[in-house]
Amino acid sequence: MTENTDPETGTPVRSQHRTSPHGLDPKPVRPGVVSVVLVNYKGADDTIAALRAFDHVDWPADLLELIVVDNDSRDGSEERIRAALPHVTVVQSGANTGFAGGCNLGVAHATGEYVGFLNNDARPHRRWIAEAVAEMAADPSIGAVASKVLDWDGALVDYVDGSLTWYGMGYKREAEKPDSAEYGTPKDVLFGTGAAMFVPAALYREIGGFDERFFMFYEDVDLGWRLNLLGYRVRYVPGSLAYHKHHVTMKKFGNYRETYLLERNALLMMYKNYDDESLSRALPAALMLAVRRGIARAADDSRLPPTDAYTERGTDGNVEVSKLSLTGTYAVDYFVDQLPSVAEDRAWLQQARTRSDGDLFPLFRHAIEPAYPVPRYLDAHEALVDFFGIAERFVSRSRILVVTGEPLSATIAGPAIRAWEIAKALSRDHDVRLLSTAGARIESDLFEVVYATGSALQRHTDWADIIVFQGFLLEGAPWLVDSTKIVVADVYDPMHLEQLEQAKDLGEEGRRRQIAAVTHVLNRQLARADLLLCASEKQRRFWLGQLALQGRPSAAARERDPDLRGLIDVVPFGIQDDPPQQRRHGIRGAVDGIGPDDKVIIWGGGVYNWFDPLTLIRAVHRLSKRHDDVRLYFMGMKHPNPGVPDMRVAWEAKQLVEELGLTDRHVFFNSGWVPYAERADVLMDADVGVSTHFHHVETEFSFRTRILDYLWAGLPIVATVGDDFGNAIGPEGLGRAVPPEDVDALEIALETMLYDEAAAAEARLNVRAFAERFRWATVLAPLVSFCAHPRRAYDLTLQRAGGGVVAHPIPSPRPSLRRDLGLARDYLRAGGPKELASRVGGRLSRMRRGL
Amino acid sequence: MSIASTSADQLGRVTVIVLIEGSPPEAADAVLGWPADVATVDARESTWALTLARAVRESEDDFVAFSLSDWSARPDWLVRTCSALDADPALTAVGIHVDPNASALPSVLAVGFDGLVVRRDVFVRSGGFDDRLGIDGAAFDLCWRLTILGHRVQALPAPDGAAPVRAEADGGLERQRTKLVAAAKNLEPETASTFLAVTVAEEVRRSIVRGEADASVLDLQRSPGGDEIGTIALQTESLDGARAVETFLDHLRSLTVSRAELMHARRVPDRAMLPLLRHDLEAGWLAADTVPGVADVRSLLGLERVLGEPLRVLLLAGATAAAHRLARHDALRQALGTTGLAVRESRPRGPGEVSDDDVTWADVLVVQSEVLSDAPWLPTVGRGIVVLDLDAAARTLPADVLSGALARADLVVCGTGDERDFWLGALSGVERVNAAIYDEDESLDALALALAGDRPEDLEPLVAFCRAPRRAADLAAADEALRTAGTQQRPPRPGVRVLVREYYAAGGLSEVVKRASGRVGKKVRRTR
Repeated sequence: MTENTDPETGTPVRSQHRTSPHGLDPKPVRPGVVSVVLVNYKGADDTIAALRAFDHVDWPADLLELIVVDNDSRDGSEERIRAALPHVTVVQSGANTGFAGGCNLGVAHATGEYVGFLNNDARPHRRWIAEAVAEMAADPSIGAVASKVLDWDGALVDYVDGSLTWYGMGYKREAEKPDSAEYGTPKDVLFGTGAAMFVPAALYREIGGFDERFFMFYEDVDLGWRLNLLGYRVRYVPGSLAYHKHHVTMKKFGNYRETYLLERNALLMMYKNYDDESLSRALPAALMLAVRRGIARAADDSRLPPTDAYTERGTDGNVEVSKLSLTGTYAVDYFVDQLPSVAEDRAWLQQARTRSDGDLFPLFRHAIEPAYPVPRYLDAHEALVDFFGIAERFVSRSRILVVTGEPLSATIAGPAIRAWEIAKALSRDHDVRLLSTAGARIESDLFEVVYATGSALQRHTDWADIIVFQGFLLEGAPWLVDSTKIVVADVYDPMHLEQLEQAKDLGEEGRRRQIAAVTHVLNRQLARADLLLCASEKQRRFWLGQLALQGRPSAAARERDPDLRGLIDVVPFGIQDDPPQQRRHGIRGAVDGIGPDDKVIIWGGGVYNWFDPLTLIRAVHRLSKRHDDVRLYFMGMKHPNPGVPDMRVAWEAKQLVEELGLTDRHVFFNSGWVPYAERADVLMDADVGVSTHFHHVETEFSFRTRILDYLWAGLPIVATVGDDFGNAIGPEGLGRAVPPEDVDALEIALETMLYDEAAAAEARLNVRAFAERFRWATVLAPLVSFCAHPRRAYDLTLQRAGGGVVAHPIPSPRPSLRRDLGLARDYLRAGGPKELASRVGGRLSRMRRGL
Repeated sequence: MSIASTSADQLGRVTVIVLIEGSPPEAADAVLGWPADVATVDARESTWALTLARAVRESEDDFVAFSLSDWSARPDWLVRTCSALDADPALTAVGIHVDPNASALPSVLAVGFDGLVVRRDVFVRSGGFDDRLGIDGAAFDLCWRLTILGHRVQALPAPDGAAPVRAEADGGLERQRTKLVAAAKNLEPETASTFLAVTVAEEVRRSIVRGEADASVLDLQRSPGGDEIGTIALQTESLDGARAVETFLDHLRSLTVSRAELMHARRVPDRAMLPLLRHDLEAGWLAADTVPGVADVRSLLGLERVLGEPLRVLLLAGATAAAHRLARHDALRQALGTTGLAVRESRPRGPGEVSDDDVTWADVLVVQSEVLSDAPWLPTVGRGIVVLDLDAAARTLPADVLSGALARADLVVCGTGDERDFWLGALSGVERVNAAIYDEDESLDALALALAGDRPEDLEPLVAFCRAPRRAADLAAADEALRTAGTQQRPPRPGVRVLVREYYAAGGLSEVVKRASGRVGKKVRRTR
């Protein structure tokens, strides 16, 4: 008979401890004190070694409390630990209550403000505590710190992030990979590892601590999941580092015992934490999959007897089966056993939760992960995922196609920059492909960059769950109109207004047709898009008017989303996150006639008919009479997209400069286009950024990206009022705003910003503060948030049923010699030839099995 | 009615198909004495259902009856069952309820295999017995399927001398398998999820308890001890739950296909037949013994709630509709209020102002025509059964709106007989007056109905429809024979790659070469 059996029946006594509704007993805490809890079960040597490592930890001894719970080892562990480390609090549990029960008992004896958990076969890095506490102290929304955990030698990863499958199996995808710099960034995770983590003590008690029904394994996953549901963040803090001898504890026991614990705990955890909809799909599938997994894994293990007993029932009374084959089946039985008490926890937790399952699925990372490469099991996994619609629900990452009609090259202009930044921002949480229908000659480490047109587009649109596009995609890919894909139309550019001016060269009928055609294109987008993006509030009002004539939004959609942000939201152009860095002078000393001390006004973009360079040139002309050092530099006369025509006003500007005798003395034209990556070289050579335009509907509704460049470079701005930026200059103190075509006002404004140092300095200061609002990371928030919870537009799904995103399994990496060599180098570095040989052996074995 | 008073003509219309299940053909003698055509089929055939289906197709009689060779019912059973089928054209199958205490039940989900009599043409069209199941399970599954296809199955008390239910020779394994397979096919996805979760949990536990297995043996609390031994001896029945799951998973891909076909063809929503399912779980073929621990599973995993849910009706009236139309809407709501059905109503004020939650919630949508001008697509979305309530003014709706709505309506109601004439003409124009509709109800009242007035009592036919709603015969593709819901035409052929992998796993390359024949052989030889 074992320690925890009923003396009369001999059956094991299973814990009924619950994780809610009343939590653990509350108690006062000592501010600033950290209580570290270790659980010992017949491992005194490891435990003593772990505790001694705290002598070298950067944390004041008077703010540190070390607690060891001995889980009824009965091997002298307790006495040895007490003798070796008299300053450590040793608590005798009196029964083996598992890791979960041991930790909870330790916390019951803790007095600290924070509790840290460390496996007894782990050791802390000297910054383990300090880095974690700093994070928790600074941010009360953090409910736990997940420490980074490496193997004992610090070479291979144990834990740097947690993943969870739809059937409740937590796993560490990066485990056993060589450590690398990419694991050095703090982030939110679903759970930390119980091997090394921290929780504020009061919170731990309030939410009930580890679930003791788990005994061991996944109690940490469950705790992290619960914290996340309750609205807390679990923060991975790589500076809080520990080293772990993995699975020292479990090596003492049969593997089937570990498998059984994992199986049953996964079921308990799912049942507690999923909302009704997720549970309804996942539970039946997970119960069946657990049964199949045990049997298929046992059948796959050649050391075990065959599992024919599961195919047909014999008639002769008894059958002998492997214990491994029973792990899933007995896990289901344990689940039934615990159901009444877990149901109470579920009821409490589901009522108390503040975050939806959809909010948390990204933290699962890849929920559609079968995990065990056993063919019969994989068959069942695939069939269950299909039958229960699992992939439609458990979406951790979406596939997003970002489409631009602009060429992607080193000299990319406005629209392509925007598409690039969108792709970059979304690639943090999703699989992103950036597609240009006009050519792609650049690459990114973060996302795929492709070029496609015509029918070749369909391969990419088929691949995607969400399509974010600018321009004429629906004309090139008309199948999207009636598809169920989630379509985001980026209408930051009211193209039909642009055509009022741009199409003048086409003759009266041509112009009429062109404007009508572009209006039709936009109407089609407005009618089909599940979400629209525009660049300013002013634009948004305009688009809402045009949308209304497309019958959108429906009254019901309006009722659900009264401010209509769910249909159309503002995503201005942004400013890149990196500060500008001048690597060489782009103007001063680089352009003949502009010296190091001259006062430089920059015209930071193309010259189109709705702009007014003429008034500006006249003002500069006047100014040059008083200030010989004034210089005006037109940054780009030739748009990189050959589709953008040269315009009349550009020619007129050159003529006027010629007439006034300013050419290459006070006014300079760059006849080409400055590459995107070299903008800083030019902008940082300027003293003032300028943008002047006529009173024109295009300028009123457009979004001047050149102004963003000025903001990025910290330049005082002189611009015409009328558009969103022009109207902000005065109130925000960014420089000077002037009426259209007012030479006098412009002359004074330029003179002030160039020669009044105090005024210029103040404007620069305001520009820097104002610019922060336009970081790409900030302006793209509405789109990022939409993609985190993507959905078809309500009024469209009522008309065309279905659609949405689905989860995709992790694609197998393509065989690549470069990748293999890289891995070989890393393993060699991490564990020498032995480690490398073991990995190669594993790969060959998998290849032999056809997996 | 006694056999003596039955005319030979009547009895000639039934073919009795006897499964001899391994016994010699003469074992069918007991039933060969019956005054009917008799065919024998060996149940040991792996494709027994296919062989049986062939026998059914070869029969030229109106009805087919089934029994095992050892069934000892008196021949007058056939007279009783055929008479019942003759008397009620809406009745499709008659059999013996497995509950010996049950008296005649006009509508049940399942009756036993022995003595089951089915209309032959319906048996053929609905796919016949499912050979993924044993014969008892297949009979149960067939009756369930017939019910969701809109047919009615009746149970008569057991004839004297006939066992009402076959003893469970396999200790319930067949019942366990059937529960999973039949539920996966016949229940709508939402109900199926809950039912399947409960079934797996209950049956795994039940088997373990019945087999007296100690499921705590893998607990770490029991460690250490015996860890060096990788196996364990159990009574075979303790694994029945796991076996049932294994079989189910082996069939899951084909079941997914079957379900899709059935969901397309079904005419009765789950909630209309859940009382029958509940009855069967309690007193029918699905009933099983209670063991410790399973008592709460149904309520904790939500099945009790699901089984108790009433049918859901959504009433949609135009907010700008005339007073008498709103009065009708109110009267209908009032009349439905006393039926125990769950009723929601909505009066959309403008385009599309209907909650999709309501539309997806509803089993039945009663749509007044005033709503169509604002939301013409409404009848075409959702899974609900659609009743169009058309008033005279609806004639002026745009043609495309009307034709779209009429094409999707399961029932059209209107005010007067004259109006009904008009709407029948319109329905005819969109090909809704067709063979499937006509064959089911030659009066066409099942498609278009004039209500006498707007008082609650006038609305009774509409209320009756809401209580027992069914998809229109032509919309449910009921005129097409089901191909995958029942008898599987041939076992799925594994792909070459799968076979090669299987052979390779069994014995390496030499095994592949040894076993390579046919498609695999060709492929292997080509690649060598």
